[in-house]
Amino acid sequence: MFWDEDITPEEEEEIIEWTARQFYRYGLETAAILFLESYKPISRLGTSLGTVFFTPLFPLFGDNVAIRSEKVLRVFQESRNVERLIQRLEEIVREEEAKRKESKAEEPDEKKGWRRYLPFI
Amino acid sequence: MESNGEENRGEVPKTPLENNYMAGAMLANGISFVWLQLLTLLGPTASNAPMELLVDLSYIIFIAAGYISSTQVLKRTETDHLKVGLKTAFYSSIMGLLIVYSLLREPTMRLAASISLCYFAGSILASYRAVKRRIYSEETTT
Repeated sequence: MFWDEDITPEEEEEIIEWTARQFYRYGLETAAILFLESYKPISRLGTSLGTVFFTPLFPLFGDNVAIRSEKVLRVFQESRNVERLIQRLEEIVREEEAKRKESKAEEPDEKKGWRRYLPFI
Repeated sequence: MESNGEENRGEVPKTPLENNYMAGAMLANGISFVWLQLLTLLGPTASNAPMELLVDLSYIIFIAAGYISSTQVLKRTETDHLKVGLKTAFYSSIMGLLIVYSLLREPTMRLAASISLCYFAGSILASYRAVKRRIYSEETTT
């Protein structure tokens, strides 16, 4: 398939960043870290199984998806990259939390939950 | 164990010791055993409490027991939360099996399996909470 294509360090970085952002986007950062920490030692086995079972299905979604997914599988074969993904996810959480706190400090104190229906509290 | 704690005062060990897992298992089974003894007072033969309510309550208490014990053991780790949680649940299940078959008047495999499943559910929940606490803690956000 596309195994002869080399993955550059920039591409590797981009795939890790994209994966981490997707996890954060869907609110799966905690579950992902929990799973990836346990999965890290068997990442090679996991990606090999993924390659065997899912690679034949990827071309159904087009060439771009097929190439991309194979690259993702190859990147996460290395437990070093799984560790980098975990660290990047933690960084993203820290960044977003800091942003959220800043925006919260700028905004006036809003009532939340059931308190907003009670003007005297 | 205590001398070890005295030497490493202020330092959190990276992975729990076997003793910690055993302590977690004791805690989980202690809570479950107290509840099983209470059931003899609250059970349908002794009181008017409905059976279904007691069964549902039992599941909640077994899950809580797994959760509490795993939370305590997970305080001793910085990584591999799921592995540590599941290991605690495994130890708890083994001890639960021994308790059910040695101390209860009418031991059944179904009870032992239910307790074991609840411990695993509780430990997964505790692992999730521990990871969430770690990544959203004040130290990491500043």
